[in-house]
Amino acid sequence: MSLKTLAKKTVRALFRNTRSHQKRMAVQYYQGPKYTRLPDDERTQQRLCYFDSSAARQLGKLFSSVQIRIDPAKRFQHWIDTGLHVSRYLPLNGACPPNYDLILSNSIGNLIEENRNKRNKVEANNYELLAHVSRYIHRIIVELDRCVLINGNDANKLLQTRRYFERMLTDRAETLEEAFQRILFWSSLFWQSGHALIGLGRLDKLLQGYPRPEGEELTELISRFYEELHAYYAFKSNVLLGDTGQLIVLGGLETDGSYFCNDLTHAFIKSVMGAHLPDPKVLLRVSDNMPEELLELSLECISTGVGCPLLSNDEIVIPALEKFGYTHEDACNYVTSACWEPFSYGKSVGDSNLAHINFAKCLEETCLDDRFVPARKFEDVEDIFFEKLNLEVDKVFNKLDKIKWAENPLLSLFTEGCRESGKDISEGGAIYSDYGILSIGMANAVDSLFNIKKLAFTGDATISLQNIHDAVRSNYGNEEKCRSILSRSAYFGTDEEEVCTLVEKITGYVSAKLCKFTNSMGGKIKFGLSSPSYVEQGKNVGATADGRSAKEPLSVHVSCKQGVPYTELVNFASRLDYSGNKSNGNVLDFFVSPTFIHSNFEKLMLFMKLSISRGFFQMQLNVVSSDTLIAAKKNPELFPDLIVRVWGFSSYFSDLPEQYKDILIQRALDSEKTA
Amino acid sequence: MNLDERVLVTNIQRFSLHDGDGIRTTVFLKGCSLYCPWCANPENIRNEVETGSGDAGSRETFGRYLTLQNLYDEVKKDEHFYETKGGVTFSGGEPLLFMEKLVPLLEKFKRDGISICIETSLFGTMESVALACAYCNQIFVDLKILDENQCRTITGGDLNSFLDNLTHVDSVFENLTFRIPLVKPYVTNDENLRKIINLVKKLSHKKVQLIKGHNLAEKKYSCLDKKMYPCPDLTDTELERIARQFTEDGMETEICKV
Repeated sequence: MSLKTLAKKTVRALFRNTRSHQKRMAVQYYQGPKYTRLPDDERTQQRLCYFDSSAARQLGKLFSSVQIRIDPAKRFQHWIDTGLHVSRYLPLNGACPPNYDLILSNSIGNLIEENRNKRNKVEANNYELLAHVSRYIHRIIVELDRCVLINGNDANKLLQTRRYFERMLTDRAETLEEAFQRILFWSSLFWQSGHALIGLGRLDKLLQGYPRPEGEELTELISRFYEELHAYYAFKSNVLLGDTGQLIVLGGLETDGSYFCNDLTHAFIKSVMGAHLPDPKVLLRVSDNMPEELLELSLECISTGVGCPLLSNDEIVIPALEKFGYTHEDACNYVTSACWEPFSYGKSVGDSNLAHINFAKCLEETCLDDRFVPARKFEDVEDIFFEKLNLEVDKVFNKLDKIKWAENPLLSLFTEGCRESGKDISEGGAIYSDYGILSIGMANAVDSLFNIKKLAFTGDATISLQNIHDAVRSNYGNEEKCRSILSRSAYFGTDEEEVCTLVEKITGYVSAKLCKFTNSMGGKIKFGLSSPSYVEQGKNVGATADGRSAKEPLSVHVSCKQGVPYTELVNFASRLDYSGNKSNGNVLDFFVSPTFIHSNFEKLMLFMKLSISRGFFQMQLNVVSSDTLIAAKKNPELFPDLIVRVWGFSSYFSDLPEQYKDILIQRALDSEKTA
Repeated sequence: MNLDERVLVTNIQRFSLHDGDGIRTTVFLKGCSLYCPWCANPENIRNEVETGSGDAGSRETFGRYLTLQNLYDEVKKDEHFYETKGGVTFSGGEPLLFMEKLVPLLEKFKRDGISICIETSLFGTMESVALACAYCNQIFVDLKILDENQCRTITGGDLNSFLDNLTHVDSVFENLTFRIPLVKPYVTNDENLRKIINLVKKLSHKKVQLIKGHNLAEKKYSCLDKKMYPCPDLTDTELERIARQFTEDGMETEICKV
């Protein structure tokens, strides 16, 4: 290290912890969308919880400053003090559902007792953290008492809530209602302390033993629970509004191969239909032997346009995870990160969307390479592409390798392995400490490569490599004819043998390369074909040889251009190998018009059932017509409740940036022409 | 089995949900025994490759010769989705014209357990009808103009041979559905509708689909430089009135708005 950098570093370290520096850092939050987009009643006064070298102590300070907000009219009490911001220098592990079983089947007193001996750092942190939470709960009880006094005779609900908080300290949860209150409280701690994309986990399985009402009353109870989860929508949203990661995972295969579901599975889905809110989101684990009526209910839910449940195919996902190194039991007990990325429930870090491999960028660089134009055969072009891909994967890994995580006592408390190993989750304490990355522009790259193969290397050679090179370099400056030819054909998503072979070759290459890496926590790296940020990342990619102009959005997940039948796309998706480190979320993305789904419901049910046995990995559907979308883009005020599926979550259409709206409109138009 | 024989095909449509039971692949054969002025697939009337002028002056070709093997491979791609009820549907054009040629292919599908369906007007030879009955699992028969004279002058068909074919299919075949394109006024005039109802009443199959006429083929007509019969719009009230007539006479009636 040079003297200059050393000096710089020392000076930075000296000033880093000053309060004025932390205040400057917080401005980003207070001026950002998470805070500014909140409705007035959810925005509280701006206060900072300053950095502390002990993360547990900082959480203690945080909890003691939270403004408690009781609303006597509500069934559940749950709040986030959005103005109270936690100052921190490193990012937090997150993007996962904590396994709330810990706090449902234990009292806090219980847990404190377990950690009393403080045999290692994690136990010491757990002990301290739980003591802070207890004090926070005592403060809540005092606040509830005050409310009871004011509300006099109408205070029954409040008294019940008071009992629930009191029992949190001394008893395990007893009823579904009590369990919901506990989950809401603990999830609020995660949000309050600055975690992102905190999911809810396998709630039907987790809550199956808790006595509960039936029928309407159950749906009503769940609806109230959803209402609470939907509060602080902007605060919980990550990049786009709606990207909250509040995912409920339902159903799924057991270790013995039987399918698990219960009354809660149904009720959670029914309540999504009833609530028609973009948050929380639901994922249903599906399998060949699942009850047909559950699949039917899901399709009904999907057909309302709410964008979920996302279907995750256990027949493919579980073996893929086993091949990744999970035990059969852990593979069967998978949940997903915010959108699609599967991993072991309560035993794993959730950070599965840390970077992406940009296949389109590799393609652009291939076409601009000096060796491109003189290439004599397609294999030469392929070689250049793989060379670029090699560099891209290295680049991604270097990025991952630099990540350092903040100490995280709260998530460590919930994650198996940390207490046992004595290591915080940020240091690799979890049983699985793997990272996940995603892909973008795969379809753009594959379509481009096939254009090159078919047009420039076959007998008639309609277009030369020089044409393609020029078109990419000049962003189709004088090559409109070239563009029209290049954009004509779709390859990615078709079930032609050679297309599947090339895609497998590319994913196989990435997979083999990622196998060689270990992350700083000792975990592996997995990737998937799902692709968020296809708009943002598209801005960094020049023209591609599939007719796409520079800076235009890249392709969306596993989907295809207009004209490819649904069965063909499912065939394509089902032929790909997703096992091992290729299992990080591979979602098939469909657009269906409401008229089509309603007038062909039975046949679409059949299609779904057969698609599961055919073997897709995951599937999500947008059910909305282009007419509606176009009208909503023009007059957003007339469609305040219109929900669509973007990336891997549901969102209000009117909240989306215009470019996303345009992509959705175009895809709706394409699907209507295909069906 | 020899699958080298070639047939003229305009389109193979996968994930087809309206051409028979289940999920199907529909093969559109080029060549027809009729020339109904309202035809929704005018590119399938002549049994030869045709070219037309498409958008922005580009040439568009209708029809390509595919071997039976090509057809077999294409249909097999979606086999997983056929399950028990779905399969392949031959439409056109008039599939009866190609029945004999298709036999090796049909034989193969039959062995693979892939259900076969045809959409026909039944204007074809008795031999082809017999073949269809032998190989198909489902047949859709169009009922259009039932006046002998009009049938000949407007669509170019011999009504008596049609009626003979129909009687045969009705008596030997199980899964038969009638399709009535509600084209104003050719098909929908009171006299013709009465004739259709009386005919079906005498037959043993009673499943009827009423197809609401449409002008979706306009682009294809102009591309082929042919004149389209502008089918007058059928109101929902008229449609319901017609449907009622059929239901009242004991037919299992379904309305299809394409």
